[in-house]
Amino acid sequence: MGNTTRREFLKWMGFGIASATLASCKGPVIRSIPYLVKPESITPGIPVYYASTMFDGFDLASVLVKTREGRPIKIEPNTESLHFQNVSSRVQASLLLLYENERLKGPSIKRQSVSWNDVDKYVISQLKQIRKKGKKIVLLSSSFPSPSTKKLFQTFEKVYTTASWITYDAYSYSSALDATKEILGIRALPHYDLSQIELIVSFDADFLGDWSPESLAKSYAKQKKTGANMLRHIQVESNMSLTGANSDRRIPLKPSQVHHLLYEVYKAMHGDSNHYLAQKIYKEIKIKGSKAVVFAYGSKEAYALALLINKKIRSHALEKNLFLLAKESNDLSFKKFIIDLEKGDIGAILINNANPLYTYPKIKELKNGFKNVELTVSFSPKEDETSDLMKVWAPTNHWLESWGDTEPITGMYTLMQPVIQPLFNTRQFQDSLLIWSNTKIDHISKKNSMTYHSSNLPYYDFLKNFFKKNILPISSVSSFNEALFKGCVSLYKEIKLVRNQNPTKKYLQTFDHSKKEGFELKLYTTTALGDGTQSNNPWLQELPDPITRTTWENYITLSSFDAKKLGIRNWHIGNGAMDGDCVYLTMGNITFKNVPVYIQPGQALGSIGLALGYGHNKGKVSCQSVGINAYYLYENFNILQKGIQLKKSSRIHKFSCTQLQHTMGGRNSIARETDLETFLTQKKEIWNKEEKIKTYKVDIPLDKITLWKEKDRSQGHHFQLAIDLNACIGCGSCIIACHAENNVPVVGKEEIRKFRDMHWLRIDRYYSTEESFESMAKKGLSQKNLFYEPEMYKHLLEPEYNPKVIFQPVMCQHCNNAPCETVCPVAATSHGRQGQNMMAYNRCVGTRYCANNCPYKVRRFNWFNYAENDQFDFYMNNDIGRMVLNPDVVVRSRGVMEKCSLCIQMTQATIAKAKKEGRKIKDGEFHTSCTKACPTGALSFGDINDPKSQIVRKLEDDRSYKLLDFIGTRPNVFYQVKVRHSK
Amino acid sequence: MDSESPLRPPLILREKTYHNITEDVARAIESKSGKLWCIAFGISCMAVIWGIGCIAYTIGTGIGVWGLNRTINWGWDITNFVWWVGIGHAGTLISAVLLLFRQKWRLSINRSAEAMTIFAVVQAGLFPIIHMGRPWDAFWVIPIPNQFGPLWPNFNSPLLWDVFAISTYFSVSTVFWFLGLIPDFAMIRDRANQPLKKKIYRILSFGWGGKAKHWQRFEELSLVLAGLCTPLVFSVHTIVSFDFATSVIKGWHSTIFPPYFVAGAIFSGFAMVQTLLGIARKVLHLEDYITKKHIEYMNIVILITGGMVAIAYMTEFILAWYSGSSFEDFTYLSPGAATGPFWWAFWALIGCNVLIPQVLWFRAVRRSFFWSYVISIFINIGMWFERFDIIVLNLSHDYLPSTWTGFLPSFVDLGIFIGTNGFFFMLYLLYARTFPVIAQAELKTILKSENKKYQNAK
Repeated sequence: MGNTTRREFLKWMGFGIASATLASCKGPVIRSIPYLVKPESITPGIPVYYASTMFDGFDLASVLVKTREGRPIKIEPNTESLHFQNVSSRVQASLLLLYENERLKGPSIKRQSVSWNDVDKYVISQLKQIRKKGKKIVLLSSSFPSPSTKKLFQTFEKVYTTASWITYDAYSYSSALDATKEILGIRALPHYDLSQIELIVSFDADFLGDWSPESLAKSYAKQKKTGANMLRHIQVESNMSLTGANSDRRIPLKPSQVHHLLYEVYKAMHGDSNHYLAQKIYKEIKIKGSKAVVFAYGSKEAYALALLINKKIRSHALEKNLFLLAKESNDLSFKKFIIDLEKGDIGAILINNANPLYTYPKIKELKNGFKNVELTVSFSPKEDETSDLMKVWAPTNHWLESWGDTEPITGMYTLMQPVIQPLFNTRQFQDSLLIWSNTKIDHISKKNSMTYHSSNLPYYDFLKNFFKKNILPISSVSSFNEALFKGCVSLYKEIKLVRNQNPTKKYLQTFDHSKKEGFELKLYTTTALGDGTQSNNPWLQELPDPITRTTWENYITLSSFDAKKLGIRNWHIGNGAMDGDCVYLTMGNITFKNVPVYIQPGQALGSIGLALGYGHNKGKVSCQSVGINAYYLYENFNILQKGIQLKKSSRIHKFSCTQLQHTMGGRNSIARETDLETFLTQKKEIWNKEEKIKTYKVDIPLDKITLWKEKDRSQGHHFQLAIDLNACIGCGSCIIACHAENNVPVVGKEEIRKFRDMHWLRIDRYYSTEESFESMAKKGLSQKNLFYEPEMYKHLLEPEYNPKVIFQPVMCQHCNNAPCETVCPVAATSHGRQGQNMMAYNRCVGTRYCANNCPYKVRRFNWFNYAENDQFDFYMNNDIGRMVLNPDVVVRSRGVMEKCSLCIQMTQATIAKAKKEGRKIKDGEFHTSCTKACPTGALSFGDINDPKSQIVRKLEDDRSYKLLDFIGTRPNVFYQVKVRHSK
Repeated sequence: MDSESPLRPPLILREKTYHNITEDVARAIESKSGKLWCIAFGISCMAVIWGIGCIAYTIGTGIGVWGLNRTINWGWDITNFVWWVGIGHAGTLISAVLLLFRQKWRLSINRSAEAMTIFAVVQAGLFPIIHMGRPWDAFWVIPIPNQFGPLWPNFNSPLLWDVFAISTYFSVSTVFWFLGLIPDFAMIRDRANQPLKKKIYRILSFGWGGKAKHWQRFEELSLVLAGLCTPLVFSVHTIVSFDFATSVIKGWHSTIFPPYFVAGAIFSGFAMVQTLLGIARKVLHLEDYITKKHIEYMNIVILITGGMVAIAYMTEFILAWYSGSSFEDFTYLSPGAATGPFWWAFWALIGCNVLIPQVLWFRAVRRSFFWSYVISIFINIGMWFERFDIIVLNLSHDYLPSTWTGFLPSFVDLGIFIGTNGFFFMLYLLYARTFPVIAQAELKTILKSENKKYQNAK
C-alpha cells in the first residue's frame, strides 16, 4: 500500500478512467447475416433477372425484373417481347410502390386487424346471404386483360349467381373502343404499325403518351430515321402535348376546332370541303396514300372518322389486323352500375384497381349509394379515398409479388410471376376470389396461418392449369416453365371480327358542333402520373414534366394571349423560382378556387389544359403534391369540356419548375436542329458547323490547339455515349432508370423550387423564338448595335406563340479535358482509364468548385442528408423503402458532390463477366441504365476502341456534334442533330 | 545641408514632444474604457454570437441552409471571402510598400491598418472552411503526410493555391506587425504599474531594451520583412483571382483578373482603413496624428486604384460585347447584366465603385473627414457587390440557358456575414484597448524634422 505514490495513483486512475470510457464507446453494429444454406439461384453480388409483366390497372409492359439477393431493384424492358416493350417512367417507378411503407400490412374488417381466415369466413357468409336475397354482387375493376382471371371469375359467378364484373377505367377508352367496334368489328383498340408510314396526321391524339395503351414511341422513332422518306408528323391539338412537341408541324386549335378540322378533312376526302387548311392537309394525305395514317381522339365520332379515313386510304398502319386488348373500358356498364347502386339493388361491391371516390365526378351520389351496400371489400394495397368507405380491407399483392397473366394484344400472351415473397400479410385478389368461390371454408381454416405462401394458395395452380388447357396448345412454347422464362409467348389464335355496315353518315350527323361561352378544356394525363394510380410515388412526382418542367403539381395551361386578357402572369422571384397567379375555375355548378395557371407557349387560343391524377387526399407523398382533382371535371367520361369560366383570384402560387429560361436565347449551337431539305441537299458545314478556334489568320480545329497533354486512350475500353436528338421524344424513362440504378435521392417540392433537383440526367426542353440573330440583323437589331442589345435579348428570351420544341437530355459529359477535375483541391474527381470522369465520394470535402466550373451544370450537391432524415420523409427514410436501393451504388451523405458515372458499376460487371467467360465483349453488350430504358434508342452507349461498333458509326456520322465543344472540354458524350421534316 | 523641403507641412499637428506622443498612445490602454467603446463591443459580441449560431447550424444541418442551388454553388460565402481578403491588403501595402518608398506619413496609420489586415484575413480564412460540405475533413487540403495512400491534394487546383497564399500572407504579415509592436510594448511595460499588466507586456516586448544593437536589428529585420511582404501584397489577390480566371465560366475566364483584383483589393483596403480610422481618430483622440493630409493621401490612392478598377470594368464590358459570343451576353459586366434580373447588383457596383468615388477629384472632398468617411462606406459596399456580381451573376446565367437560376440569400447567409463583421470589430476594439494603436517609437523619428524650436535655440 505504502508504495503507491500520489503520482502513481493519479496515473493509474487516469488510465483506468480513460480505458473504461473508451471501452464503453461503440460504433453502430450493422448485422449482416450470411446464408446458412445458400439458395441455388442466388449468388450474392450477382443479379438475377426474371421475366414478368408489369400491370397496375393503367400501364402494362412486358418486363425483366432485376433482383439482387432476392430483392427486386429495377425494371428493364423484356427485349424478347414483340409488343409492350416500352418501360415508361411509370412502369419503372412502379417498383418503388412495392416498398411503400404505407401499404396495408394485413387484412382488416371495419378497421380491426384480423386474420385472413376471419376475412374469408366473414366475406363468404355475407356473400351467401346476399346471394340468397338476390341482390347483385359487383366486382368493380379497371381493365383487366387477364384471361385466367376472367376464367376464374366465371367460377365465382357460378357460385354466386348474381355476381358480375364491371370494368371501370378512371381514364376511359370507351369511346375509342366503341368506334372501333362499329367500324372494325371488335371492341378493342387497333394496333397501328408505323413501319411503312411516312405521314402521320394526328388530331389531338397523344400517341406518344397515353392515347394508345401501347406507346407508339419505338416505331415512331424508327420512322424518323433521316432520309428522303423520313416520317412527317402533323399534330393538330389544343394543349402542348409530348406528341405535339415532337411534331414537324404543329397546328394549335381549340378542341372544337380540332374536331371541326378533322370533320372537314373527312369531307375533303369526299370532295366537298372548302376549308383551306383541311384541303391542304388532305392533299398531303392523298400524296402519301396508304403510307399515311390519321389519328384522332376526344370523342367516338372523331375516333371513328379517323378510322374511316385510314380505311379509305388503305393505310398500311392497320394492315396487320392486330388489336390491343389491354383496355376494356365500358362507360355504359359503369353508368348502369351507378343506377343500380342508387336503386339499392347492389348487395356487395368488391373493388380492385379502382378508386371511384377519387376518380368519379359525382362523389356524393356514390357515397350515398355505398351506404346501402351490405358488403364492401377493397383489394386496394393501401388506404385510398374509396377504401375509406369500405368495410373489408383485403389488400392485394403488388405485381412484383403476384402471379398472373395478360393478353394485351391479339396474338401475345404474357405471364406475371412473383419475384419476392409478399412483404406484408397480403393476398392476391385472385386468390381471395378463388377461396371465396369455395364455400366449404374449413379446408383453409386448418392451416390458419397469419401469412400465406404462394405455394398453398389456389391461384397459382389455377393459372398453371389454365395455361396448360387453354394457352399451351395454341402457343409457341412447350411448357409453362418456358413461358415463365420468356415472360411472353405468341399465340396462334383467330379473332372473330363482326363487320358492320358502313355507318359513315351517322358519324357526320352526330358530330358535335355545339358552341358554348368560355374556354374549352382538355383534360390530359401527364407523362409522370398518368391517370394518378401511382400518385403516391415520389420518383414520379419529382419527374419534371417534359413540357412545362414542373414537378409535384398540376395547373391550368393557358395561352399567353388569353393570360394577358385575364390579367394573369407568371414571373420569377429573386432566386429564379416561378410564381404565378391563380384563377377561379367554374364549369356548370362546379367551382375550383385558386387553381394555378401556367402560361404555356403553344396552347391554343381559347383553350385550357388540366392534368388528371393530382389532388389526392390520401397518401403521404400524394398529399405533398399541390394540385386539384381534375376528375371532378371529367363529366361523362369526356376529356373535352366546354363552357369553362376563368376569373383571376388574389392567390399567388409557388411553382416548382426546374427550368427558368425556356429558350436558347440565341445560343443555337446547343441543341442543333435542321430541316430535312437542308439536311439532304446541303453540306455538313451548313447545318452542323464544326466549332473552331478563331485566330487572327485562320480558324483552327479544336484538337489542334490545346493546353492539355493528350493521353493515349487507344488501350482498353473507351466509352462514349451518343444522344440522338432526332430520336429523343423527351419521355423521361431514362430519368427514372437513372433514379433506380444510382440511388438518386428525392428532395421534395420545396427543394425543387430552390433548384436543388438531384437528377443526374435531365431533359432540357427549349422552345424556338420568333427571332434569331440573323433575322434580327435584318431588322437592324444586330449584336453590333450596342444600344439595342437589351431589346434584342428580350426578343430572344421569349418563346414564340406556337414554338417548335426540342428536347435535349443532358448528363455528365465525361469530358476528356474536364474542367471539374483540375479545380478540385483534394482530387476527389479524376479521370478514369475508360473515359469516365469519376467521382470519389469519400474524398470529397464539398467545396463545390467543380460544379461551378462545369459548363453543363450536371453536378449535384448533397445540400442535406437525403437518406434517413425526417426532413426528407420519402422512401430513403424508412427501412422498407430503402430495400429498393441498388447495393452496387453507395448512398451519398451530405456535403459531397455527385453526378452521372456512366453507370460504371454496369460496365465493370460486363467486363468482369466477359473476362470470367474468357471472351471478348460483343458490340452492344455495354449498357448504361438510361440506354437500356430508352424506348426509342435515342441513347446508345459503347466502346469507341472497338472500330466496328455501332457507337463508332454514330460518332463518324455527319450529324454528330459535341455540346459546347468550343470550350475545349472534349466530352465523351456526343449528340446528333435533330432533323425536322418541315416544308 | 538640410534636404527637407521647408514647404512640406508637418505630419503631426500641434507642437508635440516625445512625451506627449507617449502619453497620447498610452492613454487608450491605461484609461478606463469609455461608454462608446462598451456599447460597440457589446454589439460586436452579439453579432459574433449570431454568426457562431449560424455557422453551427450550417455545420450541423448542411450547406442547404444557405441560398445556393445546383447552378450557383458559391454565393455569399466566397463573396465574403474575397471581400475580406481584399480588405486585408491595405495594411501590408501601407507598412511594407510605403516603408520601402520611405513614405513617412504611413507612420500614423500603419499599425492600425496592419491590425485591420490581420483581422480581415482571419475573417476571410473562415469562409473556405465553413463553405465546405464536410468541413471536418478540411485538413485534406493541406499537403501533410497521411495514411490514405498517401493521398496528396491536387496541386493544379487554384483553391489549393489559395490555401498556401493566404496562410503565407497571414503568417508573414502577423510577424511583421508584431515586430513593429515590440518597442511599443516595451514602452507600455515600462509605464505599467500593475504587476500582471507589467508581466504580460514584458512577455510581449521580448526583453526589448532600446539599446543601439536592438534598434539596428529592428531596422534590418523590418526592411527584410517589408521586402518579403511587398510581393505578397500582389500575389495573394492574384491567386485569389485565379480561382476565377483559370476556370472556364464566361465572365470568370478573364486574363485581366490578376491586376484588376489587386487594384480592387487595394481600393477596398484603403476604404476600410478610412472607415476604421474615421472612428478611431475620434474615439481615441488621435486628431493630431491622423490629419487631413493623411486622409488626402489615402484618398489619392483610392482615386487611382478606383480608376484602375473602372478601366477594368470598361474592358470587361466592351470585351463581352466585342467577343460577339452569345455566351457572353449575361456576364457580370454586360448589357444583359445591366438590364437582367440582377440589374440592381450591377448598378450598385457601378454606382458605389465608379461614380461615387469620382467626387474625390475635388480637393475639398478629399480633405474632408466626413465625406471621406461616407465615400469609404460606399466603396466597401461597392466592392462587396463587385465580388457578388462576379460570382453570382456569372454563375446564374452560364452556358446552357436551361440551367439558369437566380439567387436569394437565406437568413443564415446574412447571419454569417454579420457574424464575421462582428468578429472583425470585436477584434479591432480589443486591439484598440490593449495595443499601442500608433507606432509611437517610429513616429518619434519624424519629430526631428519639425522641431524648429531647437534650431532656433542654436
